[in-house]
Amino acid sequence: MRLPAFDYHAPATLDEVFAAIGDRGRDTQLLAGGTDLLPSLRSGKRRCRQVVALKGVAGLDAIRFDPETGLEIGACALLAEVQDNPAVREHYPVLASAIRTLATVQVRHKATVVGNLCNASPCADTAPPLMALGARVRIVGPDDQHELPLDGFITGPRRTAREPEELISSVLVPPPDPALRTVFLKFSPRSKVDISAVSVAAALRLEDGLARAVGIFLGTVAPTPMRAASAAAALEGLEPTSEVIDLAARTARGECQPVTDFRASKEYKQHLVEVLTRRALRALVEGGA
Amino acid sequence: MSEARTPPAAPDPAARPVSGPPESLIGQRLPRPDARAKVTGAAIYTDDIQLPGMLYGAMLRSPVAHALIKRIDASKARALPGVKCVITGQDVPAIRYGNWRLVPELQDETVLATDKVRFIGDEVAAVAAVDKDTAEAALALIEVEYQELPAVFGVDEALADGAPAVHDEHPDNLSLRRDIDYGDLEQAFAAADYVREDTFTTHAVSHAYMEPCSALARADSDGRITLWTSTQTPYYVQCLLARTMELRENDVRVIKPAVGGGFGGKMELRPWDFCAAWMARETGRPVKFTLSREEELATGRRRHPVKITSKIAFRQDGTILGKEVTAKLDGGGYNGMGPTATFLIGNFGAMLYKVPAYRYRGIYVYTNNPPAGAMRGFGAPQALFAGEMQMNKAAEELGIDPIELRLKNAMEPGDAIPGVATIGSCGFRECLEKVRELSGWDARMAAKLPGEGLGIACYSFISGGVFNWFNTRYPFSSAEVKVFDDGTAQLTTLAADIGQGSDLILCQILAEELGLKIEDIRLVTGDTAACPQSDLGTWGSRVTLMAGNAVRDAARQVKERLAEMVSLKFDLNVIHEIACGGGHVYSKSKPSRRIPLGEAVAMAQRANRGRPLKASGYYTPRDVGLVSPAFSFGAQVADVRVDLETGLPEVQRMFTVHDCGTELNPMAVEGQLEGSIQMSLGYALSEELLMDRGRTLNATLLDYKLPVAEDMPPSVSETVETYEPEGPFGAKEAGEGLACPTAPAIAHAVHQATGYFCRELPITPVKILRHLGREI
Amino acid sequence: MEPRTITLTVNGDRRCVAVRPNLTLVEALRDELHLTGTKQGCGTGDCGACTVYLDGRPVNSCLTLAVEADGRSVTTVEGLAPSGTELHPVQEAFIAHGAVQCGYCTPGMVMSSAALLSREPAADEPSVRHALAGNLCRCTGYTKIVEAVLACVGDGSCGAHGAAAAEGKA
Repeated sequence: MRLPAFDYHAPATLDEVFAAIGDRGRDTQLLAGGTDLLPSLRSGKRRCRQVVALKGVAGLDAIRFDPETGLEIGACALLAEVQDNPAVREHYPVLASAIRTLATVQVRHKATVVGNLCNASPCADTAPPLMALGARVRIVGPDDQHELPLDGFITGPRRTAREPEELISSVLVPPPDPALRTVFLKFSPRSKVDISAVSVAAALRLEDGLARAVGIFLGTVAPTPMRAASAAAALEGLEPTSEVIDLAARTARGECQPVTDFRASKEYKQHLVEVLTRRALRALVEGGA
Repeated sequence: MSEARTPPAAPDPAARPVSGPPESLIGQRLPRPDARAKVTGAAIYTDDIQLPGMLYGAMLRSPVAHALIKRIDASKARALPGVKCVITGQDVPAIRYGNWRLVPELQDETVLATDKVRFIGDEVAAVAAVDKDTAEAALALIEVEYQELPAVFGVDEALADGAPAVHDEHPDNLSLRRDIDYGDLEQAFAAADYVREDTFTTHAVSHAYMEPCSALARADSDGRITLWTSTQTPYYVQCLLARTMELRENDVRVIKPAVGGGFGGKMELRPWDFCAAWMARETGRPVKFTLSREEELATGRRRHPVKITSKIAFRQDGTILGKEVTAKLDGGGYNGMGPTATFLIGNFGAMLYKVPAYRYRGIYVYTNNPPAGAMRGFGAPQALFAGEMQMNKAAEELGIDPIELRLKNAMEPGDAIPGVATIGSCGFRECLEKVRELSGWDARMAAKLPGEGLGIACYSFISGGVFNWFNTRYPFSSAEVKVFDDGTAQLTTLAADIGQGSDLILCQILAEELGLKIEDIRLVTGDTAACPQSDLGTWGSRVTLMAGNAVRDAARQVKERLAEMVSLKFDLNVIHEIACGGGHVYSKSKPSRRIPLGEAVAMAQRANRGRPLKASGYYTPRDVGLVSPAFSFGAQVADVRVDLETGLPEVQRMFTVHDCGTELNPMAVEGQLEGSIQMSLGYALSEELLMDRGRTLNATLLDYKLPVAEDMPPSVSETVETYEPEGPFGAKEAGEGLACPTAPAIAHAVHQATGYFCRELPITPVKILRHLGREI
Repeated sequence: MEPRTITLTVNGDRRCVAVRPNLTLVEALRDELHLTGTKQGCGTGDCGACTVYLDGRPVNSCLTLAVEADGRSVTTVEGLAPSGTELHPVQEAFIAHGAVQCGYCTPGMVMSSAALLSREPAADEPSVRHALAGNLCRCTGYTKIVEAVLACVGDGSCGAHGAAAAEGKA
């Protein structure tokens, strides 16, 4: 089956990108890796009159790390490049390990982190770990630019806070916190290569035996990747005993809002949220990085 | 014994002695001659072929499950620039066809729907255009007015009183019955100490061969047709294409290029074969169709979902007294190969064990689901899932070890299946004993841990079918062997290699007979116009045995002529046995009396005033019952660990011991086993065509989940070598039986690990957790 | 949707081809450039039969627009072997180990395997299985494929070959 017809632009600068988009933002799809875009154009889940490729825009593929300012992942930086980046591996291992579970080698050599986020799937595997790291997105428009926390950027299935004439130039991760422990767990009942039935990213610091800065983020169990705020609150400031962890896991189960799909039923996903949250928190407490 | 995760040293063909005593090729781990073309991308599959002026075809399919076609208007499509031909059911002969030529009433399909569509995806019209974009655009311009009819999607629903009829000729939706009866069943149940009855249901899965179906046709100026198609059965396609196009069979030439797997899914004439040929004739230009994966998964043939009820009677000591099996097959909208499956499920229901009294009632039911078809094991995976699960449950309740229970009832050489066959070679008992040892069965059964379990299941399978449902008037397999004075040979056969490696095996058999090397054999195959009539193709694990026997038949005739030359040249006493080996023809008792094979050929040709030395060989099974000339056996143990929190069953290791007679090429046999485990792991755990009122919901390979390399468990295997007198060099099947035990073995292991007893495939974490009391 | 002329380097050769924007790279390679070694098994990036190297990186050519390859380098299975008579060690190993059955997944498998070995010449079995998880095979159960790749580990030959091919210089 063929892709539908569209016009194609490959601008070399951001100005050219905005010129190409013009006032046709709603008829435009931005192309970074295309691994989500092409199948969704083919199946009719997304439609467009024109595709604007970002690959040729100088500088958008950069991955920059500075201990003072943190990590910046450009819009065209490939998943594989981020996964293999030495600074990411050293300072943000949860991101590298999440990417390793995402799709396949071939997809990771074509798809981008920013594309994964902008695709705005509830099961975008980079979203929970980046949310756990406190990431922000930089939104650039024809006239100005601004930043938004990633938590909240994705507003619904295939919907984000990006306006049609804007693009996400990069995702920004705060400087590494050596005391912050992070973990990402993903589960599919069918295969090691599959869209997550449930994913969990969790982060916390242990200070004098008490859990601080607890963050619990869930994938695939709500219209967007979600912050399990109540679950985190159930643990925050407390000694992470197994009873406390169990309570946090049950709380996460209660606050997720999954729907049934053919990978897993709603009830099974709720159950998995509890199991995976418990396992994630235990892993953190027992010495996660 | 091969430990799959330990790579063996690469075989070095050059290490084989080039002189000295001739070494047998039988049992050698020979690499495949076609592998080089496949690793370099040079191998040509149907979709790889482009002909000058070629048009691209596309199919219009029904969007509804059951409807009358009130009107079709293709005028807008025909008017689209670039469209060269559009055909609907009204433009082509409404000839019914199907593989069951023996019983014409079972041929229930037309190439394009005429008055009615019976499943979502039923072929309604076809387009040929200058490019793919235009062809797809034209499909959207064909107007079809459907009058929707009530539809049925399950066997019980279809059989209910007042259910809508899928075919008017079958108001009860019952296409076919198959009964088997022998022994005194009432007496068996009356005398039993222990009786149990279970019902199992199995689900629809896809062959998921990697190469989507493709067909390319060219019409010659004299009206003859050449069709390149991705098929397992070029001969069937030739015959049925000729019939549907109202041509003589000899006016249709079918060429089988390299085929990217079939597993039973490519053994019928399909609508795109016909449409390519018909539109090539209409336009005078070649026409090619290649299906998308979505078409394959959403509308393609699939393994029959079956509901099987099995009732079995035992004596207290575990002896089987009788068995009664009923099977209801969900056939979908058409028969396809379904009648054969209905027969075979009955046979496979009582082929492993001595069952003195047996009753089988199989029915084939029309529904508005996409039609099912032949798929690896063809009835056996379903029949053996039910039968082997029931054996395990019976063993548990009788307090007998499952392997002991099987040993007690196992088929043995010489045992008869009444009216069906007499078992020839049979290493089943040895398989059971060895797999017990290999898997550490006794120790593990003695020390069970929660969440861990071993499970066992076994199989028996046919080596080719005897029953002539295609009603061919040719031999089942044919081969032509020519030898040349340069010491080489040519083998010509229509036996169809679709990836399993039968081309190599047949060359190996010929090379062994003639004492040549593999590289001395040129193979000509895959062309109905060039190959001898006929070969029924690749299905039912028939090729090695049947085509192999045809090759031997031809080779022996050639050898006889060559032996005469040696006898003549050395003036040998008539009692000398003459053999071929090491490129020579020689006296076995005086090996120095020898002639290079090429020289012997030259002598034979001189003796016959230049006539080439060649022979035709044939094989048709006769006087071997109704089902098969030979039966394979095997036993498999699955070691499974279940995560009791997530419910996830993970297979830790598979242990297999099987009897395929003589292993002609162990590397090829292992390949069949390893591939079977992948397909059957998917059948057990991850693969399922999810249906909603006739619509396939997961028609991509993202959503239809084949096991990937990371999902595969390690596998350990051994063979029990028997010698099958009906097979070439003692060989019998290894391709399909192995696809049967994996699902029940895993299900049994899950039962041991968690108590969950699967009656409905696939096994899922949710089913396990519900059994464990989780409310999910 | 006017066709655009793109210039790309395929297996070391500069090629110009006019393509519509909606043509995928696998379609352009097969239908326009007649490089039919690259197979299309699904069209959705799930089977890996269409794996090629784009600027040295293994990608699904069915998830790549042909226009994206403008000015870039593409290596297909036809460009993996160093010459018409000499094969890449992974290709040799596939033949020797019986890793080929129907062969439809084979070009993609070979490309993924060579890419892995150029990245990780000392890959272990889990790495091999992970690296090949984007390539579906229905015939072999992957066993002999994994064996073939592991047989190339340690003989040192794959790293150099793979890197050369991956950079489109083979």
